[in-house]
Amino acid sequence: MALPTRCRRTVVIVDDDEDIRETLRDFLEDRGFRVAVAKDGAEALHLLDDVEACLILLDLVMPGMDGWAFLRARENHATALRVPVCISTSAPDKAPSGFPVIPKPVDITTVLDVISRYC
Amino acid sequence: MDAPNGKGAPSGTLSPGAIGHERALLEVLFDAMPQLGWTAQPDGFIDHYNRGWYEYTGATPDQMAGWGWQSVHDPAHLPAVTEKWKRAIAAGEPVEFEFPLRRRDGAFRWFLTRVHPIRDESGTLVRWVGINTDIHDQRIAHERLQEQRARYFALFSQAPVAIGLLSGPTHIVELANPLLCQLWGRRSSQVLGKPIADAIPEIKGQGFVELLDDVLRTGVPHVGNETPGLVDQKGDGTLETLFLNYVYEPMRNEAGIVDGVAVMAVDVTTQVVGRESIARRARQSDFAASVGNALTGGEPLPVQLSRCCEAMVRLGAAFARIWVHDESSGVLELQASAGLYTHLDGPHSRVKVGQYKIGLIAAERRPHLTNQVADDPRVSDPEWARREGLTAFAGYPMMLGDRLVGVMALFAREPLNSETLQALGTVASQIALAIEREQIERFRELFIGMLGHDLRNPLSAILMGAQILIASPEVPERPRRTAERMRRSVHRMSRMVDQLLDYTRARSAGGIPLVLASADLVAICRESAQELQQANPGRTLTLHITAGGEGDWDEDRMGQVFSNLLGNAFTYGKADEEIRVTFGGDASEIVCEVLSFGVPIPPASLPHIFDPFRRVTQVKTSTTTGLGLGLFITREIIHAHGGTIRVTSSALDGTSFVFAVPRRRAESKSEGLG
Repeated sequence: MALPTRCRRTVVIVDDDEDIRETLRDFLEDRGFRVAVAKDGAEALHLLDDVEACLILLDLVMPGMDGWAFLRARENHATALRVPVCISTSAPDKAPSGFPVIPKPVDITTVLDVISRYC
Repeated sequence: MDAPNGKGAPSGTLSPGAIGHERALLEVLFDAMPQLGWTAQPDGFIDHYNRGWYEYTGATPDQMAGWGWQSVHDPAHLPAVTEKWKRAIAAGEPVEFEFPLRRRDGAFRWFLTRVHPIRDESGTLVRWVGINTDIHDQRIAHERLQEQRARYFALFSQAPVAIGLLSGPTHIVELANPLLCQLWGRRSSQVLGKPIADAIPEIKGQGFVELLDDVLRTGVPHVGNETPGLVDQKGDGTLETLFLNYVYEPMRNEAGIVDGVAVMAVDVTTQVVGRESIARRARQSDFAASVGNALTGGEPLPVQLSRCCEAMVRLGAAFARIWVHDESSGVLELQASAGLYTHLDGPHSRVKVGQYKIGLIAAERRPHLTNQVADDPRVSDPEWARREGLTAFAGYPMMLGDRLVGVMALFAREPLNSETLQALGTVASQIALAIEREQIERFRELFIGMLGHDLRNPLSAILMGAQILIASPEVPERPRRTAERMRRSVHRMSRMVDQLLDYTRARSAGGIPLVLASADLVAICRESAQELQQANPGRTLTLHITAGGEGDWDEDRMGQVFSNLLGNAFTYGKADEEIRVTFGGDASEIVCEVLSFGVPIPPASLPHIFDPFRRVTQVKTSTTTGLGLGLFITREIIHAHGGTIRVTSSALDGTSFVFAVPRRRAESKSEGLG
């Protein structure tokens, strides 16, 4: 039932909540996106060495390397720095400025709109 | 001068002629002497007076014959004189008296009278010779002196000053007036005639004897002002502190040599103690105020606790410290220190309950107070305490009910009195409350984080799941409707999470945080109104604008206010009634009214309409299943903007919410941020 691939590049979802991660993955894959998932910032940085990403959908509050730490580390990571970031968070008032923000609970059509813009 | 004459020369050897000659000579002398004189027969019958007598009394020999002398005596003294004279006659012995005699002008003058018996060779009494010497002036002078002495003594006794005379190198107490005796706590018999150091042994070593020595040696007076001294006033061995204003005045003898010290003292204990207690009370109320300010200043807890320690130092502590109890580890953590030591590390930075004196106070949950630090077995280093001159220690467990919150302790160089200890005890519980407040605040922050993050994540997953099902063409109609209900419920729950979050923020120290920016309040209102009208087609909402909406607002928050007030109007207003929103006000503030018509709010509920977790209405609709926090949050947002909100409701005039907000905040624009 998977649709033909819409983008040869990959959407990277960084979220510690497995239900969110996997629901989004299923949803996006069903709509023809390539998807890679990471449960924290460190995993995401590793991933970005291997896949060619079109967008990073980033949660902020996570154990281990959280979203803020990831954004700092990204500054020194040439590959990651080229990939646009969209923040999806339960604490939108704490989101750093300069990135699009989708507050949780997320509206799936908003997510789809944003991703479609980059991928 | 009369005595040798009166006794006479031995006459037995003279010839009769010589006797007659001698007798004439004696009579001349007897008449010529300045005294009054007389002779009497052995039985006391006076047979001869000299010229002086007659001149003085103005009496005639006839009047004086025999016992006629009694007529010139003072009747008041006469019986005693007569009695004494008769006894002398009977005994045949010389006699001496003092009595007044009447002068010729009627005035009485005092005389000293000496009467001698004259005997012949065989020892037989043959005559009496009496000589009266005028002693009136001396006697009067003496009486005056006596009177004066009595007056001085009265003055000395009743003087409102303690007076004493100390003589000689050992300062023997020669005189001590009643006040001085009272001051010393001794009867005069216990001190008179004794060296001062024996009379009042407790003054040894207090420096007073040395001062007396100095005054005696140098002749320079010494003045003492409010000088404290310890005296056993009750005589039971307990020493009491007296404050004295006194003078040690050197006393010189005829040769000009200092041989004594006059002491004058006034007991000013009451005044000094009274003044000190006023000063102490002032210090205590200053202390209570400082602690109150420190605990309500809104600063972080360690700063608040530091301020409290500083206040304790101002109250008289050499240093003061506060430990906060960490219940999970059973450790007291040093949070503040002021005075001698301000560092927070070292062996006392983390004290286990039961360890050291601080930990013991915590374990026993009882204050530990002493004014004898050096002798206190709990003080681990008495040598250090002595070196630093620390005499008092006060440590309090800070309790809330039976829960230990921390320990507060101080060392002082002066003994701590009961009033100070009471003030400290009160402050201990105030500080305990402040610590708990901070712990609650910390929990609140934790709670906000939990609500914000931990609840929203699963909600997000459910919402997405429901949305995916709704959007899937292969999902049949019925499960799709179920998914739609799930989606709506998630939205509602999400709104509740938002409200709980706002409620928690409103209740925390900073209130609801605002991000103020220049914006148009009318435009903000329009946006909310449009959204609601789309959701409620067929309802009428009209805007009436008499003043513009320019000002500094938090757009999102004011949007929340409108969606709450308008949402309520749509929910509780009758479907066929118009909802009117009016903007008015002036250059400095905006007044906005939201008016709707429906079932009025019961009058009894009106005062509580803005209370949290209350939803006052009889109308139960599917959309009213919230938490009842909307109006509470609305009011908090209005308050955060420096405004006010009120409500009136009746069937006739409708339900009217009116809020007024200043266009600009008087203080900083970032007010409420944080």
